[in-house]
Amino acid sequence: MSINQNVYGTSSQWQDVHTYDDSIAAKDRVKAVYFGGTNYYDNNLRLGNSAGKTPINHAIDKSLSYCGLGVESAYSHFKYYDILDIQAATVGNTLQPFFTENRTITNFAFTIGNSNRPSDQTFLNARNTTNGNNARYAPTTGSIDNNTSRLSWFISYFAFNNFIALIYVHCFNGTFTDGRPTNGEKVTLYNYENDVNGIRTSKPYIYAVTIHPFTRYNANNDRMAMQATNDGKAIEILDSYNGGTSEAGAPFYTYGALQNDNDGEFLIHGLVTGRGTASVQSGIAIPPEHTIFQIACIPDTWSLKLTKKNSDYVNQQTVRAYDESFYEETMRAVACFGLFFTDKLSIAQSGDLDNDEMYCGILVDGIGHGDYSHGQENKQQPQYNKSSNDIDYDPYHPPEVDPNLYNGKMQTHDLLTLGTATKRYNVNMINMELALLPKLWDIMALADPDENLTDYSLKTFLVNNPIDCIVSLQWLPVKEMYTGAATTIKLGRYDTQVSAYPAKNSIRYDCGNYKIWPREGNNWIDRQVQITLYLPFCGTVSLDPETYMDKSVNVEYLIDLTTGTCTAVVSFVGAGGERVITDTASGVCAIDLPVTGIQQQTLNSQLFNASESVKQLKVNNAFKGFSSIMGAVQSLNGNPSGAIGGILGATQDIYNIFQSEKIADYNLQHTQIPMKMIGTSGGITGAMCEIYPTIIFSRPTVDYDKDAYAHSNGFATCESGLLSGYSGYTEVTNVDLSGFDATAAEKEMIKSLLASGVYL
Amino acid sequence: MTITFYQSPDDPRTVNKTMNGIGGGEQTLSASVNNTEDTISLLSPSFIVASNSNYFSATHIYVASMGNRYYYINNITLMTGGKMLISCSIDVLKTYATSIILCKGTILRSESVGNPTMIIDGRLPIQTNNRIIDCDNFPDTPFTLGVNVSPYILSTIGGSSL
Repeated sequence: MSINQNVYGTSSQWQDVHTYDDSIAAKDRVKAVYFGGTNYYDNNLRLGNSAGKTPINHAIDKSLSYCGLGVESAYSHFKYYDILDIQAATVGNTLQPFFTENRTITNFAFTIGNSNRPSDQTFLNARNTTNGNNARYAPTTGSIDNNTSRLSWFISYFAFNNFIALIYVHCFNGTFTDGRPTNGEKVTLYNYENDVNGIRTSKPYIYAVTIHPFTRYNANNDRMAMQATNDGKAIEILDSYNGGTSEAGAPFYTYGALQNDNDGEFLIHGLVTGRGTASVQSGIAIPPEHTIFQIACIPDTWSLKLTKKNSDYVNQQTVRAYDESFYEETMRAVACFGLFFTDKLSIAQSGDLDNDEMYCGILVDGIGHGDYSHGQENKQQPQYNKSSNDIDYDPYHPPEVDPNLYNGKMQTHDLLTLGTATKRYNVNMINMELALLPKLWDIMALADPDENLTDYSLKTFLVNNPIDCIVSLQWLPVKEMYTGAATTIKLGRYDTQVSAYPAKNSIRYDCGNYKIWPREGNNWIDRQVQITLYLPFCGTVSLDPETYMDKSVNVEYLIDLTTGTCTAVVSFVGAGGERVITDTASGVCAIDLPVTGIQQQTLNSQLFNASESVKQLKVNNAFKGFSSIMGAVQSLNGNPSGAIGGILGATQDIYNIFQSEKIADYNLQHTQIPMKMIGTSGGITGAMCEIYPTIIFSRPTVDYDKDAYAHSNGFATCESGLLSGYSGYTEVTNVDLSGFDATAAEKEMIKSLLASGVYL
Repeated sequence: MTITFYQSPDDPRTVNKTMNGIGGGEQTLSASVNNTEDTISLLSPSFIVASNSNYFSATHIYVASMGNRYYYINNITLMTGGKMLISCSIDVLKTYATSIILCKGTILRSESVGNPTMIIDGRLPIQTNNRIIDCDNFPDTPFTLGVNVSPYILSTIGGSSL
C-alpha cells in the first residue's frame, strides 16, 4: 500500500537523502532512502494538521507502515511498569508490569531525530502551539519546548534491496554502575553468538538488541550505515494504545513519541522510553492511577530490573541472560519487519541479496510472523524487487491472523520446604538395623526403678506409649533422600545418638530424554509399532507412535517422601527442547514398615490369666518388645519364656521386616499380644520389578523383497507433479491431459492406463 | 500408405517403449498397404500387406500417415494371394509418450520414491499379527537397590534433647 501523499506530502517533495551529507549526487538519490519530515513545512504532519487531515488526538494515517508486525513481535506486547511499583522495589529486583498490550498486528514507522539539522532551525519556533501539547499518534510531534525538538523525520520510502538491517547486541557483564550496565558494549549478533574475542564469555548479559540500516547510495560503493543523530532513531507505533478507553468511552489513550537511547539505532528489544508520563513527552495518556510509567519492548525471556534508587531518582534496565535460544529469538524478532537483514558486518556492507548469510523476513499477507529465508530463497521473496510502497499490505484492511502464540510451557517445579510437626530422618541401613532399633531396648531401662513407667514415658517421649513417638518408618528405594548436615535421631526428648541426615520432603528427578528412532525409514510402518512406557512403581503408559516416532520423550519422577507416593510425568520434547506434559502415572514407592509395640492397657486386661512373672515382665519390658516384634510369632500362652525370647530376640528379625510381605498379616492373625500397628505393609512388589523407566516396542515383522515389490507395485504415495519427475512403475490419477492432440477416446485410454499402472 | 514394423521387448504398460527394428537388426521393414476396403479405423485398423515371414516377430507397427501413431499387432492372418492381414489396436502410451510425461497428475503409487512413505500401503506384505518385542531403558532413574544407601525415612515426634 502506497503512502498516503495527501497526509504525508507529495513524494516529489520527500527528502531524498539517507545521510545528512548533501554531497550525494542528485542522480544517485533515487536509490536512497527517502524521508518525510514532520518539521518540513510544506509536506509534513503540520501541514496535514493545519489542513485538518491529521488532527490532534486522532489516529494518524497508517499508510507509512509497509507491513504489519505479527503477534510474535514484542512490539505487539509492550509492557508497562508503574513508577510507584518501581520506587517500592529493592535494587536488583525484577519488576512486574502492571499491563501488557496485546495487538494481533502492529503498524509502525521508522523515525529519525534530526534536531541539529541546520535547516530546521528556522522552524523551531514555528511548530509550537500555544499549549505545547501536541499529543497525537506517532509519528510524533512529541514534547515541545522552544529549545529542544523531538520532532522526527520518518522514513517515507525505501527500496528493500537498499535497506539492509544489521543486528547489534548490547551486552554487559551483569552488573550495574550508577544504574547503567557496566562496561556495556555493542557488537554484531554474529560476533556475540560466536563469542568472537571472548565477548560473550566476558559479557553474558544483554540489555538491548537493535538494528542499524545499511544503504548504498552509489552502485560502486559498499553500503554505509545510516548516520546517527543526537536524537537517535525510534520505531513509532501507528496503532491505538489498547489499554482501554476513558470513562467517558472516548479512546483518549494515544501513543506519541517512543524514544530510546541506543546509539542512534532502531530498537528491537529493550527499553522503549526513558520515562513515560501522562504529559506529552511520550504522548500517552493512560489511567490516572498509573500516571508515570516505564515501557519495555521485550519478550517473556527478558526482564526489567531496578538498577538504581535514591530519594528522587530510580533507574531500571531490561536484561536477558544469554542462552542457546537467544540467537533464534533475536533473528525472528528482526524478521517480523520484513526487511533484508544479517548478523554480520561484512554482509551488511557488501553482501549480495542471495548470499547465504543474508536473510529476508517472510511476509504472509503483509504480516511478519518471524519466519525468514536466506541465500537463494531470498529471490523468491517479493521484497527482492520491490520498494516499501509496493507491498500489498493495507493497514486499514488487515488480514485475519491467528492471535495465539503457541509458546506455552508445561513444567514441573520444586516445592517450597513444608513445615511439619514431626522430625524426619534419612537413616542408612547400618544405623537403622544395628544401632537404632537395638537402642530402643535401653530407653525404658533408663527409667528410675521407682518411677511410674507411664510418667517416665510422658516425660521423655511426650506420649503415654513410647511407640507413639515414632510416627512412621518407611523404606524407600530412592537415591539421595537427605539434605543438609548430619544430625542424631531424637525420640521426644531422648537423643538416641544414632547418626542420620534430615530427610527431604520431596524429590524431583529427571530420568532424561529418550529418542524413539524410526527403524523402517520413518514411514507408515514405523507408525504400526506399539510403544509402551513402563514406569517403575507407577505402571505403564501407552505412547502414540504417530506423536512420538522420531521424537523424544522425557520422564520425570515427582516423589513425595512424606507419604511415599510417586508420580511419573511423561512429556513430549519439542524440537527446541521445550516439554509438553502428555501423561502422568502415580503409584507408591515406599514400603511402610509395621512398627509395633505393646498396647499396655490392653495387654494388662487380656493377660489377667497369665502367670504373674510373665505379666510383670511384660509390663516392665513393654518397650523391649519394640525392636524385634516382627520376629514374635510364638504364642504367649504356649511358651511364655520362648515368647519373651522371641520378643527380646533378635535384631536379626529386623531383616525379616522387609523381606517377607506376610509377617504383618501373620502377626495380626496369630499373635496374642495386642499389637498397636503404625502404618501398613506397602509396595514391596514394586521394588522387586525393574527400577529404570523402560520403553517396550512391539513391532510388526517386515519381510519382503523391496526392489521386486517396488517394480511390480510401486510404493503408496500421494504427490502432485509432472510425470517426468517419476520413473519405473507408477500409478497416476487426476491427470491433466491438455496440451497435445489426441482423440477423446485416446485420452480416456491414457487415463485408464495411467490409473492402472504404467512404467515411465 | 506405408507402415513400418517394430519389435518392442518392453512391457505393454511401458510408456516410451523401445522400438527395435526387425528382419536384420537395426533395419525396419516397411510395407505398402493394399487394403481393398475403403475404410481404415484410426484406433483399431487392419492392414493388408504382402506376406513377409519377418512380420511375425513384430509387436508394433508405426503409421506416419495416420498421425504418427503406433499400434499393437494383435493378430496376423494369412490370406491367399501372398497377403497378410495385420489386425492392430492403438498403443496410446507409445504414441503420446513425449506429451504424457509432461502432464501433471496425482501420483498414487511410484517405484521411484524408493521407499515406503507415510501413506499406508495395504499391498505391502508386513505382518502386523506377527510381532517382535524389544525394550530399552531410560538413561537414569531416581530409584536404587544398592546396599550402600540410606533407604529409611523415620518420622518422629519431638527433637529437643533432655
